[in-house]
Parts: sequence; structure tokens; C-alpha cells
Amino acid sequence: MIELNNVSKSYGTKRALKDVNLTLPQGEIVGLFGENGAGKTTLMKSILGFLKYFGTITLDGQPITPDNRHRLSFATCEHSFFPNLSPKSHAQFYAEQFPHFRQKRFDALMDFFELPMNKPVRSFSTGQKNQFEVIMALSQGADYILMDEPFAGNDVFNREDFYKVLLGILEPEETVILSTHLIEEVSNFIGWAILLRQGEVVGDTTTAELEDEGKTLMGYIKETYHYRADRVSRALDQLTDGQE
Amino acid sequence: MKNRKKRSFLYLAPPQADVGHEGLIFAIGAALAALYSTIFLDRYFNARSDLYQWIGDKKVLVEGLVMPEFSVLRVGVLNGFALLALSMLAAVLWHYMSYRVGSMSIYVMRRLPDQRVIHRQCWTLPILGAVLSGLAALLMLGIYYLVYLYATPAGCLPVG
Repeated sequence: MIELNNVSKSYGTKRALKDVNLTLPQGEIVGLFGENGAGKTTLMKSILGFLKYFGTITLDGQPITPDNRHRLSFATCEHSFFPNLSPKSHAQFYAEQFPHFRQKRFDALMDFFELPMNKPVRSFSTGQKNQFEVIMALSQGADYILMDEPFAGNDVFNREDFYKVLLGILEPEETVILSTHLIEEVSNFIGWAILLRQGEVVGDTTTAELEDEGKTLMGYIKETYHYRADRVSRALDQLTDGQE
Repeated sequence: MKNRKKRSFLYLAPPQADVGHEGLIFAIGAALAALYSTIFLDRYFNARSDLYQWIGDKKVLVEGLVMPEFSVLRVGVLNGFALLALSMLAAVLWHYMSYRVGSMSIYVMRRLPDQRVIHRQCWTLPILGAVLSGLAALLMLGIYYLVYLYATPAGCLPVG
């Protein structure tokens, strides 16, 4: 499991994470939700060790170092592939560098998404690049797969295909931590939901608990964020007032 | 335990670097450095022609005149190669920056179990370039020394 204890991170005077305490168990699909600027990306990058932070983050009780960081993979909307390399060369590089690279899974996913094996990735469309980014994260052989808004730019059919594939291929010990705004789409298959707001954890629950309480994930998020359903109508009233 | 596979060229340069393009730039730089070094030939042949005087319509060696020392003629001749070798530092810098160009492949590199890979990728080809610059400089120096030795009239080489 991944444990975060009193993790804080600031960018200058802005606190991006404030005393975050979390336990991310193994073998779960965890949804990480929050408004833009809530700290989702900062949280993921802190776990990966890409950022300096206060507090501690451990992986199975050990600090995250180059010795165990290969157990984490990362798919990001910024894209982390090598643009000039073909997928085939990516697989060769990953196989050389990561001890548990999953060649069969890579081949199967490339085939499923019908991506060209021998063209440089920079020639792919945005949607194809997103798919390839996720394929590499899933094929690395990591135990914890962090995905930061990986579907930006993908159409709904691509996303649905991906969800089905994800559910089909994940092994019991693999954990996915998925940051997305597409709450309705992922609510059917995530097992855990973490809500961030202004750098703080404001919600941490399982979908099983929500079901027992008769709540939907969207309802829980709205309740946690104190969403005011009437704010749109009130704003429209203010805008149209005086035009009559 | 997984067998250690044969390493590919991907080990030697940043995967997103255009090695062919960099090689072309290096070759052009080496050619320019070699061209610049031919100022030795200009100096040499000027100094050689100073050994002669015209008597009537004949060129005759001036008694007692010798060529300047080779070490004097070759001053600054290899500066182009020195500059080429130094420019490899810019290549190193570019290699490190390239992991943030076009994508953030630095995120992959920072997850590698062997963190020396990124440094090997960034330094290997520039070091090779600096060594090749040095070897090219030595080659040109060797050629020019042979010219100095064998194209200088007998008895006109400085003693010692």
C-alpha cells in the first residue's frame, strides 16, 4: 500500500497540499476527484517523487526511491512518451529498463486500439497519443498505475473501450489511481473515491460504503462540495434582471 | 530473474534526440574546423617562400635562413577543434533539456531503476564528439607536421 502522512506542498505562497493523510490499498481502482487546482496532479507527482514535499510517503512501508519507483507508473495528459520513437522502440526501451515490462499486454493493447507499431508517436492524433500514454503505463509492469486525466481529447467511444479493457486486464494486485472529471463515466467501476478541495482531503470513501448508504458517487461529491444547485438559476436571474 | 538483454542504441542517446541531425551538425563543425586549420598551410608557405630570393629569373635559397619553429606556425590552428569540443557541452545541456521538449519523457526517466541511464544518454555522444574532435585535431596536426618536415628545403629546418 501507499501511505501518505501529513503531506504538504507549497508553490511559493500557495499551498497545493495541506496535511494530506491517505492510505491507498493495493488491488483497487481509486478515483481521485476535485476541482481544477485542487491538488490532484500535485498529489500524484509527490507520490512519484517528482516534487519535494513535507511529510512522508511510503510504498509498503519503505520510502519511495529509485529502488522501488519502478513499481509506480504514470500516464499524464502532459504525455511522457518519447515523441520521436515508434511504439516498437518504446517497448524495446521499456523492456530493457523495467524489470517486469509486460510485452504481451503491450502487444494486445496496441492491437486492440489499432495503433501503428512502427510510426513515431509524434505523428499520432491527440486521441491516439492519449491511448498510447495509457498503454505504456499499463504495460510497464508497475503495481501502482497513476493516471492524471488521461482521457482529455478522447471521444466517448474510445473512453468506453478503454474502461472495458482496463477492467478486463487488471490483475488483483494492481492498483489504479485515476484522476478525472468524468465522474459519471467512472463511477460504475471505481472501488474507492478520494475528494480533494484546495489541497485538503475532504472525502475518502469506498463505493461499497456509498451503496450501503444509498448514495451515488455524484451525489456524495455534490454533498461534500456543498454544491448549490440553485446557483445557476440565481446567476441567470441576476444577468437577465434589468434587461426586461 | 529476467535475463539482461542486449542493450540497444537507445542506451547511448536521449530517445527523443535526433542523432542523425546532431551528427550532421558535428560533421559540418568538424569540416569548418578543418578548413580553419588550413591557416597553417597559409603561414607555412608564406614562411617557406621567405626562404628564397630572386636572382634574375631564378629563385635561390637565402644562405643561413631557416623556417620558424613548427610550434610557432601552428599557434591557434586547432582552435576550431577546441571550439567544437567545447560545443559538446551545449549538446549535453540540450540532451538534458530534450526530456521536456515535445512531451515530459523526464517522468519516465525518473522512474527508471537505473538512474545512471539518463546521464549515460546525455553524456555519451558529446564525450564521443569531444574525443573525435581531439583525434581530428591530432590528425590535422600530424599532417601539417609531415608537410613541415618534408616540404621544407633541406637544411632549412631549425636545429633542435
